[in-house]
Order: sequence, then structure tokens, then C-alpha cells
Amino acid sequence: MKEKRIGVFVCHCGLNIAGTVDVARVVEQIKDYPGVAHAEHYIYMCSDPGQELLRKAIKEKNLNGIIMSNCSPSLHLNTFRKLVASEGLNPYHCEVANIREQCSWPHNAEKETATRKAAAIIKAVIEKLRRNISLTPLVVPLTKRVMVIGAGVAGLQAALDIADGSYEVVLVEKSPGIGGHATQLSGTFPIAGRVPCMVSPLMSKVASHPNIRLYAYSELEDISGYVGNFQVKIRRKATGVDEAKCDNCGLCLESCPVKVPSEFDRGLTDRGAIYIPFPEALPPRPVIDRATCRHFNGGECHACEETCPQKAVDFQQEDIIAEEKVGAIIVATGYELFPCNGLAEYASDPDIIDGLQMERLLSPSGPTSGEVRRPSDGKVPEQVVFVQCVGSRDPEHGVSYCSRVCCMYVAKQAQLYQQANPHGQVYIFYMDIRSDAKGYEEYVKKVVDEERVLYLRGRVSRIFRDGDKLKVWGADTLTGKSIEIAADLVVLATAMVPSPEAKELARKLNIIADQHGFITEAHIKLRPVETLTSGIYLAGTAQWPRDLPDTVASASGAASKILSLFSREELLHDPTVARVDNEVCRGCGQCVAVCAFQAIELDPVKKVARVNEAICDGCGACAVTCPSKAISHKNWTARQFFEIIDIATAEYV
Amino acid sequence: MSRLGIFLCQCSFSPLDSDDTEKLLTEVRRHPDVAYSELHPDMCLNPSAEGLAGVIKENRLDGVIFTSCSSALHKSAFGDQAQAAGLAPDQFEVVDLGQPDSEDIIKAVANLAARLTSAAPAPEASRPIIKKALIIGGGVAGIQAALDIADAGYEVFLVERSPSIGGHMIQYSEVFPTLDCPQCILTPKMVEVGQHPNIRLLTYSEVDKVSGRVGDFSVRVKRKASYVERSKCTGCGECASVCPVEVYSEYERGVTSQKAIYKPFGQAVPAVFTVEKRGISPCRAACPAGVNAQGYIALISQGKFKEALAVVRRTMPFAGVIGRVCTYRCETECERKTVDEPMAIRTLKRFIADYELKAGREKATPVEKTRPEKVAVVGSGPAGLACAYDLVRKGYPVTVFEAMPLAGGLLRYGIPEYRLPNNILDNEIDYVRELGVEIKTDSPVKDLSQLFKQGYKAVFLGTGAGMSQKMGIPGEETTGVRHAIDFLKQVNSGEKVSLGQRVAVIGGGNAAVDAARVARRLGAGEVTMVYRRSREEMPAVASEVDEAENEGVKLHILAAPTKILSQSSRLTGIECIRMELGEPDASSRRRPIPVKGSEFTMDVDNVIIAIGQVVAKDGMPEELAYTERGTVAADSVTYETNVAGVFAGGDAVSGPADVIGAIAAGKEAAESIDRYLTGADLRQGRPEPRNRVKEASKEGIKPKPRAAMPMLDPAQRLKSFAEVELGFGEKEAVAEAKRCLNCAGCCECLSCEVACERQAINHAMVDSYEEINVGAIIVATGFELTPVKAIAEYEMDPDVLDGIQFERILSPGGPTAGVVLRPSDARTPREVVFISCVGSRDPEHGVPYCSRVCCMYLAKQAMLYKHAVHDGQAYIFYMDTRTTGKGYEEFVQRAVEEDGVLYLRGRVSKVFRDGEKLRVFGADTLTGKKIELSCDLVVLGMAIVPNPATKALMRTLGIKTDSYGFITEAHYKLRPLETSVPGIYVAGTAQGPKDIPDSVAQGSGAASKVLALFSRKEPVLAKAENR
Repeated sequence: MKEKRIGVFVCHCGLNIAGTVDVARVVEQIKDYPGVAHAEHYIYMCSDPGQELLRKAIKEKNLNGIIMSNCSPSLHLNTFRKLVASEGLNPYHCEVANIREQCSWPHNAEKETATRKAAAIIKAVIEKLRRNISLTPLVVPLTKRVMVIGAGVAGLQAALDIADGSYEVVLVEKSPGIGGHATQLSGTFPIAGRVPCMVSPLMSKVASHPNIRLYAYSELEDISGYVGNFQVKIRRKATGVDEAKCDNCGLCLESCPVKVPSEFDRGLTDRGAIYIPFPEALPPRPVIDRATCRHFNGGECHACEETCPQKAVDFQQEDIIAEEKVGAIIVATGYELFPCNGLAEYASDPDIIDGLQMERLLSPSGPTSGEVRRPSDGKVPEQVVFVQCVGSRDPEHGVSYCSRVCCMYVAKQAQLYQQANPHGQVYIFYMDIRSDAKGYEEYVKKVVDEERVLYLRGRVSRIFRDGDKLKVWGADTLTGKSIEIAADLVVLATAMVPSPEAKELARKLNIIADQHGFITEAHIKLRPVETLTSGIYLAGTAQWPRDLPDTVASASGAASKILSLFSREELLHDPTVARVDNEVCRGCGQCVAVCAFQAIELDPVKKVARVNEAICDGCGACAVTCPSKAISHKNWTARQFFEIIDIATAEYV
Repeated sequence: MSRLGIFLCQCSFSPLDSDDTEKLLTEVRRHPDVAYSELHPDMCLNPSAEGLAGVIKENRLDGVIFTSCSSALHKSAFGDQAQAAGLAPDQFEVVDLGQPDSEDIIKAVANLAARLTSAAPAPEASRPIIKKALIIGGGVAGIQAALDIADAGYEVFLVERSPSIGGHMIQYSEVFPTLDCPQCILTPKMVEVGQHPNIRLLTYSEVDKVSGRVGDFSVRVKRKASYVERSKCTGCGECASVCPVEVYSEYERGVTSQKAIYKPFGQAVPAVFTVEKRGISPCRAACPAGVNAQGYIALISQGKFKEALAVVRRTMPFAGVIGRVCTYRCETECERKTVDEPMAIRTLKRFIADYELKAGREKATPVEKTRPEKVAVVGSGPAGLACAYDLVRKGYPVTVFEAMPLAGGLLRYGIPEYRLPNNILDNEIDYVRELGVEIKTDSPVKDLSQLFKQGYKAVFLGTGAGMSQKMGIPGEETTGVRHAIDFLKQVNSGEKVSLGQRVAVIGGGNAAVDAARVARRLGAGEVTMVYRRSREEMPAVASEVDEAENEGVKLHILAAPTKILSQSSRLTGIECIRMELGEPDASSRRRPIPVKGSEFTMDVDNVIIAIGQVVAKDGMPEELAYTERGTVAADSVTYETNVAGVFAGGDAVSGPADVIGAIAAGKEAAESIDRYLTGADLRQGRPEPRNRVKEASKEGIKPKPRAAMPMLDPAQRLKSFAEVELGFGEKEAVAEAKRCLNCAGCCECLSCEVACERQAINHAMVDSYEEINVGAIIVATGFELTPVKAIAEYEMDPDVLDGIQFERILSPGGPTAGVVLRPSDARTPREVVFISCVGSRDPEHGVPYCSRVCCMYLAKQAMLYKHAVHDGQAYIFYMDTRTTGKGYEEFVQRAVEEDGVLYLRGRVSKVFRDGEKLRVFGADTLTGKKIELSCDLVVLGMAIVPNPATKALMRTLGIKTDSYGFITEAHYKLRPLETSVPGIYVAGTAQGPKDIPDSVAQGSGAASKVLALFSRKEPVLAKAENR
């Protein structure tokens, strides 16, 4: 092995590193370390002048190994490897010694120790670098098709942007119709309008787009592969209705004897076991809900089958597993509301409803044709109490975060109710008013000024029935007085939570969900629509509560990432992957079992493990599992690990 | 006659009830062109293209009208359907039914009918999409959009107004909720933009003009002159280290200043320097000769006296002379006077000349004669020598002819020595000589034509106005009556001049004052100046008059002599008449009018007449033309006379005037002579337009009095002709120079030009324009904060900062290297008050909307402050805490629980200084109590407003903005990234206040709109998407 001429570049990162680590002393200590041909420090290595400095040193000092000692490699390893490559070196002879996240930040009160530790980290990485070999990135093919999971507004917008960009989209929606929660909503804020009117063009465009293949009433069954080359299996749940024959006449719906609460109307109306979510749903065809259908639950019922003039009802239909090949995936699985009955302080009562139920009551196409009537007796309520932050900002009862949209939709619902019922009175319990987007502040002010809506700052401690009325006990923290209201209807703005399936889906996709189940982005500031798994992106409320404009923007953002990705002909894959020593491997197969990426198989002839390098993530699970130590990783050999440990422990403990 | 079809939407969301609809249908059907109309239950919710096509075919319709609740959303869907049914884009129309109003639809029917029956529509022109994008604004939104589009393989032009990309984000210390430093997370992206093969970065540039439409925009980009050749600049910073001027730093937001040649910050992309020029400073603009006062003052402030003198000598050789005798119009115009008093510009100039003289001047190196044409200058006064000085430096052989025994003209013979010592004048004339000007003294020119015969190719006449004007009153010829000009000449020539005890000086000009003060020095006990107007109207320099009085000269104003009295040819006195002031005359001074019968007499021994001088005509060619006033007639711009090759300037042309005016005339004449001799146009580009700076920022300037001129004790003065004004010492000069406001930014001292090894600096650079052609535009012009001074209740104070200023103080790369120190006295603030919603949610003082990010950044700043000052206390006044983003709620909880930040719900009514502390008056709305806090530093969460510099840009682009100036999106819910103009998209805070993740997502989102447009296979139909 040719001895490397190593250059060490210590970054101050402003005061992030230099405030704790004595960078000048580190350079002093490192510059005479065996193999080090050059060492210096600079305030921002990643800046233009910093990079120029590196370039100059490579040339002048004839360096062929580079240690950048700065922040985490996830931030800048690529920056510097690119630069090193442009100077004619193999980029894998450049390594990062992380002295920020792993040194200056955690030890910010211990200057002396941190300085010693920084030097030790650098020496350890020098020992690794010394043994690095030249590698070339693997070239993998790129399938220019996309799967979008979830057909709410985010999914629809992302699908359309990509389809308009001339790529094929596979759109998977678990419910029978597309459109998501937006189809349930009534009016809009801050400018008056109707949400379904806004979403319908999006829906019809998606439904008729030649580049979009829609899988409604379907779920992701299985996935394998990696960026550019995902193989997905999609379970198309049996609808029990032959799509080709059904002409959506609706006779079957009336024939069904089953009555179950309608999801679309959030239990305010009933639907049959064979149903369509709402009249204008797309695709326009009924489905049979096998969980409630009498035919599938031991009954002899054939009502719908007999009624159907087209003979489209087919009880024999089975789930179909469709297979698709895609290069990228967008997760847009949306949100749900925290259940009302999850809060012990608030009695379960038909007249205590959640925000979406109120939307249905306010919707012209809703069960009461837009006239607000209370569910218990159909009376028009005169005293309406809205309670914000129910389960939000309340880690003891629900979630710690703010649900972002409640302040605004409550104001809107209050306005719509008050406009229709000038004699009614609306009370809104709030903690802070959060009207922080365009036109929102002015809108809330208008609601307060024009509609006589009473905002009360404080929390509600109890709600319970008292004859015809609901008693609401609360406190006004501004006056310090306790408040009691006899209400006809109570609307709880319950917390927005991720779709319940999101966690399971995240596991399948090998992406990270946080403790709430929201999908975690690659970087909260600068990579908000990417996940840490390359090729998988996220959009809308699957990531975090947000309103429609932000949802649409994030969906278009995710689409743009894919359009950029697809502009290349092929992809490059990191070559630091597992490598099998055929001489040592005895074909026991333990590595095959442990690989989470299905990247290893046994060669049936030679009886040795074989790594599919394009899939291998370099995670190392196989290497530690292998009983004969036949597997190691390129540039992460056991030898390299041991050297690192030796140095680190010798110098530091 | 056309056949129109009307499809009336009757979905459950329609604002029309069934009665309205019926009425509308009946109304519509009356129109003769309507062939078909129907109610459609769910036109937009569930359209069926086949059904529509059927109806159109069946009824042979050639025009269709749809009604809809929002055409912004449905137009394209309906358009698709109409096209699918075989109609052209101009054969359908969508009518919004916002309010139940049948008028709109009737109007639309009429319009469409008219359009269809008019000339057949031109065949659909289609044009290919230019697959290049323009992004305006290099903040984080613009950077993200640029990278996404460039990564997809399309060419991107990124236009940024300031010298570097990075926007506001790069100014921040750390960002919430992860406390990443923007330098760490944004600079990689900036560097990537700078190096991306698909991105052309046009920094320090602005979009000037836009035409065309989606798919094909022509854009003119103004590339502002940066005065540094970007390709040559290596960013080494040598130039800034020698630059003497400190100006406001946009990056540091005034917390510290920067040099006038600057790189905004260490990691700037591109890493090049830019010169900030705001025009010509008022002092320089006021100077007739254009002496660069700001330039030499800036250098003096740095102790670079030699360099400062060189700046003066770039214009004229007389720093010491003009530094003494100038009428200093520069000081009248000096902006510093609006703070306290004008700069002592004249004395500073004198200082550098004296400094050199004291140190011993090195001999000047002669200028090489590169021109064959000899030039003659007649007269060695200021005009002549200035002309000769400029010509010799242009390489001409110049000879000055002077009639008197010594050179200097009026400077030598007209100005007394106590004002202008001979050695000063000699030194500066010597300097002109050393450069190669030949001065022939005792050489009166009798005949100009002789000069041409001797081979001179051009002549400058700077012969001055050396003949005293007569008063025309009886007794003027009496012995004992003298004329000031002759009197001063005699004294200055060293002749013995005797005067009586009592002397009257007639006149109020500088010559009169000089004569009076000289008379005192010659022993006259009682010297009286008689002047016909009031003291304010005296043309003499006011300070000179003051000094004359200090020396015992008496003033007799509003009086004019009528007769010289004598007895046996010996002067005994003068008879005068009192005057009063009437209406203003041509000189805009009030005209003196004699008061009848007010005659009185004064007993005097001598009378010195100093009422003006006229031009002598001896030795001039006969054909030379004169003005009515008896001065040489010369062109006011070129100074040509009517005789070919003869130019004239100075007092000879203007009549008696100030020295600097004469120098200016000499310089202009030199320029003309050069043009005349090289055959260039004499007039082109003259007079040079001067972009005078209108106003300089005085923010944070503390009053500091002007340095007083040290004077010779009046008791000492009358004994000799020793200089009265003593000039500044080094320390005084430097301190005085530091008062300069540097109105013009760059002072054009050219120190940087000398320092730059790469010769990258070009002070003559001008703005240039570049035409680019793009298919789509993204506007990402960002935000600004409202200025603190907009809130009257909060006193302006160095320790009252806005949010971004405090970011700079917290930043490790900031002016205090991350140590929290307050600006006024660099002490660690023990108590800091943060105030949210300053100017936000407050229509009376600012804007009604919420600025969205302040709650979070103030929490972060309070937290960072606590991390830096562990025992400090942070208070945050808030209205509502708005923490709606991912991890935000938890972040604020941490600030409260872990860092002990005190949140107070309420507004602050007043902030004012109280000694070392700032007082904050407010109210806690939760307890209902009044709060009074005393603190060291106040940080204001000022309202976010659109960048005010972008107003004109929005007009240029033709896109709609709201009343605040934020860009209006095509649809506020579902088309948040599109503007009112197809092909122009919006990203980031240009659309409204938002945080970094939302800006980045929008940047990517806008990019996706562009990428979708670019990947269309078919070209854009010109009409379908016309503006």
C-alpha cells in the first residue's frame, strides 16, 4: 500500500467548534502525526474561500488523503468529496472527522477535554483513511415512474405535477374515493369559497389524466428495491362490484338493508354495506364493505345482487395483488382527528361533535343541507361553544404539539354559523389565537368584529349534559373568572394526528416516523419534502399539521424533487457496501436472514453469499452476524474499526 | 350570427337558488344567439367530456359559456372539455357567479357572440417553450428553486439585487427549532449554486424589463456597476484593507459598518468585492473645480495625509492656497450641517498642504511631453496656472507669460500675506513649474498674434480683472484716494506705503476687507468700512469681516459716499448719504435706495476704493469680442472666444470672482484646448452630468462640534503681516475628518486601485444591460422588516434593536464574535426585553397581519441569550404565542422551562432611555397589572413586509400584489405558487410571511411548476394562455 500524504483541515464552524475546541492546538498536535503532510484550520471550511484553501493545499502539498474535521458527514462529506474528485483524487480518500456533533457540542463546557478529544477523533479517522481503497460509485438504472400513496389534496397535487411533467404516476388510495378530507369540508377561509368546488377540478383532472393510473380502495401490500428501482405490490381490495358492468345507477345503494355510520358524514348519517362515499365521488362506483355486509357475515342477503340491472354485483370477487415498478415514492397519507371520546373531562354526547362533523353540518351537500342542526334532536342550536386545543398542546391528554389549523377553521365555522343564525351566540375558548398566514389575522378580526363571536381565553374543564342543555365549565384567564355556559352544541377542535396507518406504512417503506407517527423529513429546514431514504418523499399533513396552501406547496415541492431526480438517465449508488470473501464464506445463510434490504442471496452453485450491491445499504448487519467473518464492508473493514477504537480509547479514556 | 350554448352550474354549492336560476335562464334565452341552455347539476364536480361533446355537436354550437363559482380553479378544466369537444380556446368563456347576478352572464353572452361573429379567429399560433428559467431573488427560496430546476437539467438564470446570494437567512445566528447555524446548512447550497454548470448567477443585478408570455419571456437585466471586474477579483481583500471609508453594512444591519469596497460576508457567493457608490458627494458637487473633498477627508481620517494631498492634486495644484482663500461653497452644501455644523473642509485641505511643506516636499517629477503642440497661457493667476497644470499633465509643452516680476497674479498681488503667506504660494507655483510648465515673468504679451507666429497652437487668456472701477463721484482724483487693487499690489510688492490715521474703505467685498485689515497693519488708527447695503449682504467672506472687526476695523453700513472732500488738494473727508433697502435687484439682494437729505460727513485722511475691478484691454487682439460688462466674451461651457485658438477664463471672463471659480475656468479651458488640438468635439458630454447625492443617512450619528480654527491673538496681529489663521494640528485634523458622513459611499480616493494587484478595480465602470430569453420566471424577492423608527412609542436608541440586528449580535461570525454585548457601550446586557408583534397585528402603527415567524425567533433569541449569559434574564412580551410548526410548541416550552425565559402577555406602550438603562412600560393582560421594567437591551420583533425595493419589479412583471405588496397567488388555497400571470411563479416570503421550511418547500414547489411546464411535449398554445 502506497503511504498516503494526508491533509487535515480543522474547521472553526464560527464558534460552534472553535468556541470549545482550541483549533490551533489541535492543528499543532496533528501536524506531526505519522502520515500527515499538512494541517491547518479555518473559520468556515465549507465556504468558498475555505474550499479554495483546500484546493490549493491539495495541489501544493501533493496530498492524496484528506481529513475534513468539521461537522457531521451527513452535512458536508459530499461537498468535500466532490471537490476532492475535481482535483483528480478518488473521492473515497476523503473522510470527515466529526468534531462538532460528536465533540464541541456535547462538551461545550469542557474546553480542555474537548480539545483532546477532537485530536483523538482526527487521529482515529486518519487510521481509517490510511486503509481506505479507491472506490467507484455503482451505476443503477432508473425507472421513471412514481407511486403516490394517498389521494387527498397533497397526493392529487403531487400526482398531477408529475403527470404533467410527462411521467407516469401510480396513485394508491385506501378509501373508495379520492379527494381526502377536503371533500368533507364546507367553506374556506380567509376568502369565502367552497372547498369541494376547489378540489373537484383536481379530482377530475387526476381521474382522467392519461399518465395517472389510479388504484382506489387499495393499499400498499409490499415493497422491495431501492431508489430508481422499487417493486411494489398493491392490494386492490375486492369491491364486490364489476367495474366494467356498473353504470353507477345507485339502485343497489337503496336496496341494502344494512345501516352503518357513514365515514364521509362522520357518523351524522348512515350508509349501507354497499355504498359510495358521496354522490360525486371518483371513481364513480359503489363498493361492498365486507365487514358489515350481511352476505359476508353469515347472512343469506342478496339484495343488491338481485337489484342490480347490470348484474354487476359479484360476491365472488377477490382482492387482486397488482405489481408495479416505480423509481420514486411520495407519501401523502394525511391526517385524522384525535377522537372526541378520548378525553374523560368531556362527556360523550351526540351534541358534542368534532370539527369535521361541524364541517358536514355546515356543508350545503351535508346531512342538514348546510343548516346547522344539532344531532340529538335536529333543533337549531342557539348557544354554540367551540373549544380549541382539545388534545393539542396538551401532552397529558393528547399531543404536545399545536394542530395549526384549528384556530382558523373554528373562526370560519363560527362565522358561517353566525351568518346563518344571527340570533345565536358563539363562544370560542382558546389558548392563543394562531392566525399566522396570509389574510388570517384580518379574517379572525373580522369574525370578532362583525359576527359578535365571543372569544374567551382559557381552557374548558368539564362538559356534561344538563337536561336539554350541555353545561360547559371553564375559566377566563384574562379576567380570572370562572365561566359556565349552557350550550346547545359543543364543537371540539380536536388534535390533528397522523393517519393511523402511517406508522405501519413507514415501517414498510423503511422511513422514519416520529413518536406521534408523523413522517420525519431529511432536514427540518432545508430538506422538508425528502425522507432520509432516498427516493421516498413526503407531502402534506403526513409530515405535520398544515393548511391547504401549505399542503399544496409541499406537494408541488415533492413533485419537483422527483422531476429533478428523473432528469438523469441513471443513478449513482454509494459503493461502501458489503463484500463477501468467497474463500471464507461457508454458506450458512445467516446474513441472508438478517439483511433488512433483501440484498443478499445464496449462490445455489457455489454455496456462498452473494451481495446485490445496488440494494445493499451498507448497514453492516451482515458483517456482525457472519460467524466466519467472511463479510466486511468496503472502506469499513473490521481492521479499520479496531484501529479507530484503539486510537480513541488510548488517547481519550 | 353564432350559435351559443349556456351551461349553468347548479351544484349544491351554487349561490343561486332555484328561483334565481329560472330567472337567469329566461333572461339568457332571450338573446338571439343563444341556441341552447341548460341547468347542469354537477358541471364541475363530475364533468363528462363525451356528454358535452354530444350536446355541442347536436346543437351545432360554436361557442359555449360555463358558469362556475371560481374561474381561477375551473377555467382550465372547462377549457379541456371544450377543446375535447372540438372548440378553440377562444370559443368558450367562464363566468364567475360570486353573487347571484344575471348581468354578468348576459354580458358574457353578448361578448362571446360579438367575438365569434367578428373576423374569423387567426389560426392558432403555437410556439416552442424556451426551456430556461429566470429566478429573481437569491435567498433560500430562490436558491432552492434554482437548484431544483438546474438539477433537472435546465438552464437557470438567478438574478440577485445584492452582491451575494444567501438572503436574510445567512444573517441569522442559529435557526429554530434545531439550532443549526445557517452558515453550516446554507453555504453548501450557496456554493453549489455558484458552481452549478446549469446556473448563471447574476448578482448585483436587477430585472429591468420583461415582455413576452409563458414559454417565451424576453427579460432585460440591469447589471449594476460594481466597479470591480468580477472575473479578475480573487476576493483577497487587499482593497478593503486600504479603503478609508466606512459605510452602513446591509449584512451587519448597521450593527457595525463596512468598507465602501466590500464583500458582504466571509462566505459570500460569488466571493468578490463590490464598491458602494451613491453618486457625487454634495461637497464635491458644490466645488466649481470638482475637488474631491470627501476623498481627501476620508484619507485624512486614516492619517494618510500624503495620499490625501495627492487626491487634491488630481484636480489642481493649490491645496495650500485654496485651503486658505477659498470661498468654500463645499461647506455651505455639507450634509454634516444638518446634524450640527458643516465640516471644516477648507482647513482640512490646508492642513495636508502645510503638513507636506513642513515635512519637506520632494521635488515633483516632470511630466513627459507627449504632445507636439505648444500652448501659451497669458497670466499666471489661478486660472492660468490651473489651465497650465492640466495641460502639462496631458503632455503639452506649456509656457505661461506673466507681466509682473513674480508669478501668481491676484494670489500674489491681491491677497495680503497675513491671509496667504508667500512661501505657500511659492511652493505651489514651484510644484507646477517642476511638472514642466515654463513660467516667463516680466513678460507682458503685447500682441497675441505674435504668440501664434512663435509656434503656439493655442492660447489661454487668464489675464484677470486688474483695473480698479471708478466710483464716479466728485473728488475721486484727489491725492489720498487710493484703489484697493493698487494699494494691495503695492503693499504685497514690498513698496513702502504710508497712510494717515483715519482711513475710510469704500465697499464690502473681500478686497475691501483685505484693504481695511492691511490699513490697520500699516498703522492707521481708525479704519472704517463704508458699505451701502446691510452686513448680511456683504459679498466678503463673513469670517473675514468678523476678524476685521476683531482687529479694530469699524463698519458703517447702509451708507454710500457722494463726494470726496478736500482742502487745498489735501483730502479731509467724505460726504456720504444714508441708504435704505428696497426691493431685491438682479443679484437678488435688496437694492439700496438713498434716503433724501440724510447726507453726513466723515473726517478721514485716506479713502480706499474697493467697489470692484474691470478687465484691462491692453495687449489684446483687436478682433477679440467683449461683453457689455466689459469682460472677454467666452463660451460659458467651452471658454472659446471669437478668435480661433484663443480661450479665456477667470476674472477676465467672469469679472471679479473667487479663486476656485477661476481655477475651474482654467481647467475647463484646458479640456477645450486639448479637444481643440486633437480635433475632438469641444462640446460633447459637457458639462459633465453630476449625480449629486441628495441626502446622507444620519442614523446613529452623534453631534460633535466642528473643530475651531486656532487664531493668532488679535493683540499680536497688528504688529506684522504674520498669518492670522494658524491651521489644524495632526490630531485635530484627524478628529475633524472623522466627522465626515461619507455621503457618496466610495470617496473615489482610488486607494483600492493602487492596492489591487490584479487590477480588477475599475472606477469608470457603468451599469450594463443583458438580454435573456426564458420560458418561466420564479419571483422570490423575499421580505424586509419595518424600520424601528416607524413605531413612535419606542425611542430610537442604539440599544433598541430589531430582530435581525440581534441575530448579528448572537452570531459567532457577527461583529461581536457571538459574545452578547450591547451596542451603546459594549457591555454584557443583564436584562433583555423582547417584544413581539411590533407593528404586526397593529393596523394603526404597522400592518394588520401576523408576521408568523417572530414568536419563534424571539423564543430562540431569548434561549441563545440565556445560553450566552447564564445569569441574565430574558422577558418576552407577547400577544399570542404562535408555534404551529413541527417541534415549535415543544421548543417554546423548552425556552420557558429549561432556560427560564419569562413570558408576559401584553403590549408595551413605551420604551425610552433612562440613564444607563432602558425603561419599558407595559401591561400584563393576564394579571391586569401594569409592568415597568428596567433593562439593558430591547429587541423588537418588527413586522415582516415585502421588500420595498421590489414594488417597481412587480409592475414590470405585471403580476398582482395585495395592498401590502405581497404577491397575490392565482388561487389562495390550491394554486399558491402561481401568480396572476401564466409562466410566472412565486416562492417564499414574497408571497407572505413564512418560515424557512415553508420557503424551501415553496421554492421546490415553484420549481416543480416550471419543470412540468418544460416537460410538456406540445408547445404552448399562444392564445390559450395569453395574459
